[in-house]
Amino acid sequence: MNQIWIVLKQEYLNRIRKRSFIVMTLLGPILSLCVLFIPIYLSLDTNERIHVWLQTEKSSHSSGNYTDQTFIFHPVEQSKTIEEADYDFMQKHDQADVLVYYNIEQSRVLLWDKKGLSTAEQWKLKNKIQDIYTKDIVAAYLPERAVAPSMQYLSLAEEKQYADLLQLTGLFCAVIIYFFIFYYGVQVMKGIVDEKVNRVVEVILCSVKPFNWMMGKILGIAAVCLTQFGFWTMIYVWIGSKFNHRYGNTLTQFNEENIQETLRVSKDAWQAMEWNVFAKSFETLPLMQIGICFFIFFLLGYLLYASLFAAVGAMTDNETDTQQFTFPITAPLFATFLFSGFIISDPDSQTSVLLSYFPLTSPVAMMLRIPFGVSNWEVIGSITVLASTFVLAVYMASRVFKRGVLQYGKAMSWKDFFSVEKKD
Amino acid sequence: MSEILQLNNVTKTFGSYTAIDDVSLSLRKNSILGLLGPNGAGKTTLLRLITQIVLSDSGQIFFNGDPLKDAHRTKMGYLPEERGLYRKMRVQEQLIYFAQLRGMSAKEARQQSADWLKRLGIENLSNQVLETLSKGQQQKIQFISAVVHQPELLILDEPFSGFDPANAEVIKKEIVSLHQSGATIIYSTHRMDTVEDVCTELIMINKSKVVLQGEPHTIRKQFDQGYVRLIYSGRLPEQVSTDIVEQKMLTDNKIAYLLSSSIATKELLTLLIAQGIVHSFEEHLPSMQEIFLNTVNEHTL
Repeated sequence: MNQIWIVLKQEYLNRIRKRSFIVMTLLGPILSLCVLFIPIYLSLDTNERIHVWLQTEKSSHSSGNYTDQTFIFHPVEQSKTIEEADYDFMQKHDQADVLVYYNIEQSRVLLWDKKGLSTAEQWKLKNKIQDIYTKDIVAAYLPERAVAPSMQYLSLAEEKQYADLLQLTGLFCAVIIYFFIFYYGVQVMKGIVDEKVNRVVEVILCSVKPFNWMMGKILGIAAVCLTQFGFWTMIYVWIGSKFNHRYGNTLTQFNEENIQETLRVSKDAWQAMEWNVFAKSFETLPLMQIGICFFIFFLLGYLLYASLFAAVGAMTDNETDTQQFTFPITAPLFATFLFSGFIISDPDSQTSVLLSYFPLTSPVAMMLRIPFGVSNWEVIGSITVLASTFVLAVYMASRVFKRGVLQYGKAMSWKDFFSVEKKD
Repeated sequence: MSEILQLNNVTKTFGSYTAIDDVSLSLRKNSILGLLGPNGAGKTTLLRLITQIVLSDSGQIFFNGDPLKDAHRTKMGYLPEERGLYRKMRVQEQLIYFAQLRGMSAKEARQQSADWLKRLGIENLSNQVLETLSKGQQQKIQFISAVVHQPELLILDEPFSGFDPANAEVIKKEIVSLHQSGATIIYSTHRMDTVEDVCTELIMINKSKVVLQGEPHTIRKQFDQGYVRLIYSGRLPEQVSTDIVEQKMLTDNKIAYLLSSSIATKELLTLLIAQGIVHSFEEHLPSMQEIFLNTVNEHTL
């Protein structure tokens, strides 16, 4: 135990002092946010534009061309009643995605979404409508009407209202888990191969039991991983609290009088409203479950894969040889990642459920499913399978490790790998 | 129990290659065992078996009377032939790390490593990163890493390789000093001079088998062919002239001979003195170098 602790400590200290660790720790939050938001922005840039029918009351002064890269606005004849416009909108199958009706007098905006816009598209559209609405107020010079309109968004598409957010959350957790398991698993393997190549292994193995060395390395790198992850979490929480501080409380500070003033001079109030929408939808997520599960799946997944990677490191004498063993191990994890689109689109399908139980795929697959709501007993079942597999993997890996590392100067083959158990 | 190490019929194979074939040996406490053998004979494998870097296929190894087990690792110090240290780590940091792995407390490890750095005159290097040091300096650090935890059994694979003669002498003195303070030492080497000077016991391995074993002087005696080394001026007596094994002209009409005469020493000397001048006359025991070459060649043929 003491030896494991000494190896762990040394591994940890060595790694956190490396420049690459510091760079990754600082760049990580930025990169991960990019991974999350770049697809959203790319999706906003599609050629297929959204057709928005814009209907205003007769008193409205709305004019001008608001069409941009995302939206094409079609003004609805002012002679039509809201019911008539609604009927026409529903009957038309193309060039009619969203119907917007707003009334300055009543400070009211209604949006009917037939297409099922993504959260980001919804935000962008709402901002656009708010711009048009403000311009109308300015044009009509009705400062007393400059209150935040009650925006009502009605999705007529079949999808859940917050499906995008759930998918994003699942995807985000899965990406982080996949990345950490892969990156740090490979670090374990590389560390072992490096020490074999520069011959330190000989000095180490005449001092330490192979199992202690392997566990020390795996746990040391796990500690590095958790440190990095802890730092990232702190950054996310800090950014979140900054947002909350800036926007979250803004609305509560408003009263009927000052909201008008604020809306006129500050765009923050609108952003505060957006933040509120976002925060509210965020609250619908099973955050506690996601947090706990994330930690457990992340740790167990890492430990399972790290033991397998350690075994691979032990079996090979140089990094090039690791390829033939790495692929079969990482294939399930990678495949789950490829399947992620399918899992988030149908989290309760048989395949999704199966993948979230199979230990080599469950860390990623379960995290994709959890935001959509997975019962606790199901999660516990999956964790039990994963934990048992981890124990089995450590046992197997330590056997392979003992044989592989000690098989000095002779890289193991697949045949050796399978005969390990027999020999022992 | 006076034996620190005992090997009974130990065999180790790598695939179809037998690296160690049915080797048995025993080693008394506080002795210095020289391990000799040509390249590829199996010396390093034998040392790795003792240090548990590789496991034997058959046979038994005992340490202080107990079958070799994991806990024995910390009682041994090992200097591998192909040196291995962390290139990016600072000198004292890695010495402390290795000492701790072998059971020392952090405080003790710090103290001992500092003492050893001072003892070898390199205390100024303690905070340097290893890769910035010269090869000789790195060798010294590697040597310290093997001895810093005060092992009972010190195993040195080619301890002098990479050292200039002056530094090799320093290391030789340290080995002798460790022996005097009670350590048992095994070392493999090609340097026959150090073997004769330092070792109390010898083992020669050739083609995976032990071919020679014993105390250096006894081994040399065993190979004694009754030769005489002579430096002489004048004509050799007729009875002796057919017994010349080697001869070499020296200056001032002196000739060095190696004779294999069967005549008794006293008679031989009388004959020689009667016919010329004897400058030097001594019994000739074969050197370890000669024994080594003869034995290797004999087993190769």
